Amino acid sequence: MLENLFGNKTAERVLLYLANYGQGYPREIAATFGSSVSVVLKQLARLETGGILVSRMLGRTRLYELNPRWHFYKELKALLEKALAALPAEELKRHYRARRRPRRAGKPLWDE
Amino acid sequence: MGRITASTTIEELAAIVSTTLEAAGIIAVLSGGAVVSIYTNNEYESRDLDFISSASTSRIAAAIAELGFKREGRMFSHPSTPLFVEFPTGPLAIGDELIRETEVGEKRTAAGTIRLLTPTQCVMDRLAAYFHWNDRQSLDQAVMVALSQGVSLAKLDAWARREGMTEKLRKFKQELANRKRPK
Repeated sequence: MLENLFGNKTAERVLLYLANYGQGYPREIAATFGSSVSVVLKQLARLETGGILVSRMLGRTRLYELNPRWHFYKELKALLEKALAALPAEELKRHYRARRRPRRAGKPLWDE
Repeated sequence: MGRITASTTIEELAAIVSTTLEAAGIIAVLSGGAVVSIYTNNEYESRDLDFISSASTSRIAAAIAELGFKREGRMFSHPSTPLFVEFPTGPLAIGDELIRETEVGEKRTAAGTIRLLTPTQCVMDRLAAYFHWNDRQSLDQAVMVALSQGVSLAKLDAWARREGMTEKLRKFKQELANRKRPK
């Protein structure tokens, strides 16, 4: 949908993922879309260099998010949210509705 | 090249880089932690100099190569100093507020003039990090700058209102008042 604007499909997916979930790490993003981690990492690095994303370490994992201090953050967020709302229901469910709320350790998962 | 040594301070280095860039027709504004270091006389010690410029990285690299800087990805390092120089992507902005090159401050030093965020802009820059990431270190730095330089609270009020962060600005004012109170 926005891949031509963002340069490629992976960049579009990374941005939609971060707009949707708020944050993410390379392996998780790659697994969501069945992409290779190196391809995702390359786009994350490119977007971070441009100031569009920021990252920080959480334990041994590098977490990425849209940079709320980037001058065009609000406009980008609005564009991505509009794009998310326009996705087919099936795609939304498959890639953008993974469980994020807490669940006690050891409690079985029924619906995920 | 001999101008930069192991004992070159962050302020001296900022001035040397600024004047070299300006001589090459490149305007660059110092922002980030280095400005905090300069305004607080190194009470907060930064090792990175972040300059925002609209010039291309290759043009910048060519200009500061004469000082002995080598490009390492986005960073520039120098064999004689542990300090790094970086040129993050612009534009120069604090939250929604775009800052023009003509609206920043200037500091004259023996090594040359530095174009840098004003103390109030520097406090906004630090507070923006506190607002978005709850970064206490940034809040402390904002307080340090406000204490050492004096800032426009009216401008901070108006800016925080526009950013929808008046509650968090209150915390900054509280910290500032606590630090000002004699112990």
